[in-house]
Amino acid sequence: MNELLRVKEVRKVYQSQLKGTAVEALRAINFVVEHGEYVAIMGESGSGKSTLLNLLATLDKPTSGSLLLEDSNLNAIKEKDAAAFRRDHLGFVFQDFNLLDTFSVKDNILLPLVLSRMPLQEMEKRLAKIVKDLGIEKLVDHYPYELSGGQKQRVAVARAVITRPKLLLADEPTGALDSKTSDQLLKVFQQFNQSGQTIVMVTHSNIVASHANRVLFIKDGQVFHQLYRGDKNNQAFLETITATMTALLAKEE
Amino acid sequence: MFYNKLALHNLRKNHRAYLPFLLSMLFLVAVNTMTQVIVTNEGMKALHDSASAIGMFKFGNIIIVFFSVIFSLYTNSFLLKQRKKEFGLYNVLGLGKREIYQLMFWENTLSFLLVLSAGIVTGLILAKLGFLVLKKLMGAVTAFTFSFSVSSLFTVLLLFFLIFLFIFLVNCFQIKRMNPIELLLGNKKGEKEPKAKWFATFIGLICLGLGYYFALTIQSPIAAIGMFFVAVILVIIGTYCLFTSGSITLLKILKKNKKYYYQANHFITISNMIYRMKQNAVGLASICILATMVLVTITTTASLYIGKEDSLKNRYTHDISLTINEDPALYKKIVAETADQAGIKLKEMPEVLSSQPLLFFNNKENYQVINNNKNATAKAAKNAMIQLFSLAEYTKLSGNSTSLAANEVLVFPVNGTIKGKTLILNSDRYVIKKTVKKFGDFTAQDGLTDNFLVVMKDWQSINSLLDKWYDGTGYEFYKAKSYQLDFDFSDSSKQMRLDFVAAVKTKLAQQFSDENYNVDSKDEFEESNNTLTGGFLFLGIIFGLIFIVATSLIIYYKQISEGIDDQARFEILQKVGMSHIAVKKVIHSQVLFVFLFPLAVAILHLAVAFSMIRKLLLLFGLLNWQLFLVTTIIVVLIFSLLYLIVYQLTARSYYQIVERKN
Ligand SMILES: Nc1ncnc2c1ncn2[C@@H]1O[C@H](COP(=O)(O)OP(=O)(O)OP(=O)(O)O)[C@@H](O)[C@H]1O
Ligand SMILES: [Mg+2]
Repeated sequence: MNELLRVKEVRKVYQSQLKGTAVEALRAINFVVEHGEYVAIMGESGSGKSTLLNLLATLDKPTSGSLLLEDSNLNAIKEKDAAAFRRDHLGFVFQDFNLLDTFSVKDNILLPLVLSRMPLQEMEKRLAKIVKDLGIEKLVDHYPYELSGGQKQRVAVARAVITRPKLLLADEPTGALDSKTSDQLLKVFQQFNQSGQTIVMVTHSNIVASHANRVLFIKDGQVFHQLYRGDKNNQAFLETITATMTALLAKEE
Repeated sequence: MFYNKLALHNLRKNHRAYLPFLLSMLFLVAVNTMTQVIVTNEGMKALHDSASAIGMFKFGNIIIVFFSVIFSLYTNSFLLKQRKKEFGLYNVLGLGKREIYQLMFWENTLSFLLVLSAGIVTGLILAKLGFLVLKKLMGAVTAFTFSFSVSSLFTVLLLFFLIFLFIFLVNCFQIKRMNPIELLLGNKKGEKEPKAKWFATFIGLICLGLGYYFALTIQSPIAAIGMFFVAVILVIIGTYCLFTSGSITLLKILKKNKKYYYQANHFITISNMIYRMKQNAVGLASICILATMVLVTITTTASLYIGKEDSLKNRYTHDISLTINEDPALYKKIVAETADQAGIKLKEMPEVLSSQPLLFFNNKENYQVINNNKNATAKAAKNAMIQLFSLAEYTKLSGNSTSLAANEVLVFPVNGTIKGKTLILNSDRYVIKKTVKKFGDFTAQDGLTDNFLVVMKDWQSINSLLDKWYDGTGYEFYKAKSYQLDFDFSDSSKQMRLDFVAAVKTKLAQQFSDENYNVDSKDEFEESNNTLTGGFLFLGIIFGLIFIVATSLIIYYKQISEGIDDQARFEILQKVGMSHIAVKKVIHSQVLFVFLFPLAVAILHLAVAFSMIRKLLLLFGLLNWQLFLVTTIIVVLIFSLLYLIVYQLTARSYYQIVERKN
């Protein structure tokens, strides 16, 4: 397996506009993601998980350090090209779905392709396949307000992967879902991963993290610890994660 | 009391929602105070032609009151929409509905007191100012002084007390129906995509088409008055239907066309516009109608005002004009005596002898005498006024001598044309020997009906025709000869001239029956015309201001409520892979379109209404259509400029909301 993403000495400082005080959300993040990996990033609230994901998503720029996706340096992408880059190489799933209420399910999913000016026929071919994979064929002509949370999130996933991104980024994708629909979504993610999709997912739930192949723990702006699944099944991996978490918390006290 | 404190606190805290409400209510109070004070002003009675001026202002006042009620409800509905969530929260946190009513009662009372006191003070200042403007516009006499009665203020107080009471009841009713959870989540609930409404679109097209057709094809100004209102109603209905349904139907058709729809630019614009139109169509249609009204009111009143000299000149070739149906010798004597007494020098014009102006009905070029006046105006488009002259009179007035056979006539068309070389009067055929270009002091001018001066061989033939046409009793009037005596003043003050005319009128009234003569004074007309055109323009400006404020407010509310929705939408678009610049471009073009669309349609409406309004202006004696055109263009330019300024100001608050997070 070869390297897809390399994050090197990434630091992010937020300058508060009102008081002029600075918040160091990330201090020195280092890690590498290989092709086909499924990585979960964990950490407590405020530890900088979303910040890190936004940097990977080119929605924001680091204060220092570098992020490399294959050969492209994410820092060097200009704002006007960033959008096209996101569209072509990255897919996102957000905690709050971020579907557009003005578009039908079909149009929501097609949105990135339309922005890339893909021919209509090719778009429809991809759409047909993706909605089948996600089991949302019946919903294509509906509007987001008519869907349940789980259905919305599946639509969001469809929109994220229809561009066949190199990297799928997800920020708390199950945050707004109950455990049953969470499970369904995580199964979908696992399937995608098995068919070769690289995934980086942020979560603070042990159970969610236990579906990944590797878990990174972030604390004090650094990657504090990491766990590999090895050949453990989900249940066994969950136990390892829980044990690690307890140990980490205990150390603190 | 706890609730009045909380209410005060709420007013302060919610200033973003409350400020536009308070400001617009304050404005309404001020405008109502101003018009009330002006209408009930004692000074009004000192005006020349005061009855019609007061009538006009009363009418204007009624419209303003009516508008105030509607607009209060409109701005209140926006306020309530923004407050509902908060009330829902209070409700969830344990404040009962009864307490919420109490809270609302205090909020309402506080705003009522605030708005009323500030509004009346502003209104009085405006009234004083407006009064000066009005005085200037009317060129009014010095006796026209400012004063105000407490009772007029009481009317305003009562009006707004009722409005606020009504608003309070409306709000209570809305709160009563609400369910707190619904309210808290209220605006998060997604909206159904609107369906294409073919039927309403169709109705809209028909109404607008008919309205335009009437406006464009109207022939006579008298018919125009009735048609004007029909056309206005049709266009209003049409505009509302097309804005609400037509726009959506059109967008839906575009959306159905996949090739067109699935292109990056069209994709986002169309689907956003469908929602935008659904939410804003009524507001936009209202803006469009209001803008049209402003344009029409201001262009007409300003044209009348600017054109008043012009219409005066057209209407009066001389200072005093006496029309007499009997021997004029005695009249001349009285006028001369009065002038001597007053020390006024008069220049007497040669007297003009003719038949009475006779009304005909143009039935396929056969002019038929109408000898009962009853339904004469019904078909005014086909009516014609004909006045008969003898050849001797023509020779005297024009200095040209020709000869006429018994079946030959000369024609001077004042307004309109006669087709062909023959004139048929009640089936008698006459050969038009010549169409003359000059005839004494008569000038060609646009008018309500066609108007021809016809010269015949001699009075004998004229008399025998009149006898034939008006056979029977009760028609003596039509057969009487008409003498027109014109006088011009040489140097004398306006007041002296007015006094002189008044004196002549009294003296004549003592001696003669008023059926037999008519005195028309240029100065008197000028005075009452000044009052009318000045008053009209003043009302026009007030209406214009009110409409502009209303328009701005609607736009402001629209921008705010849209901004909040759009902010989320555009953020998602950026995350999904649209660049900041592209998003910005889309926002700009949509906002601009939504903005310019009502203005463009309003200008189109005005353009279509142009010829109809021109005909209406004829009724007021404004014949100069070039002047009307120039005024219209200038008004449109000024209005567009104001509109764009309002756009700039409100768009800024919109962009602040939408672009907050980039
Ligand atoms: N736009 C911003 N401006 C200033 N400070 C910010 C901004 N965004 C995040 N922060 C700060 O950066 C730190 C990390 O925030 P981040 O949102 O990345 O946390 P998180 O790990 O995603 O937390 P959670 O699990 O609650 O979502 C926090 O202290 C936060 O206050
Ligand atoms: Mg987060």
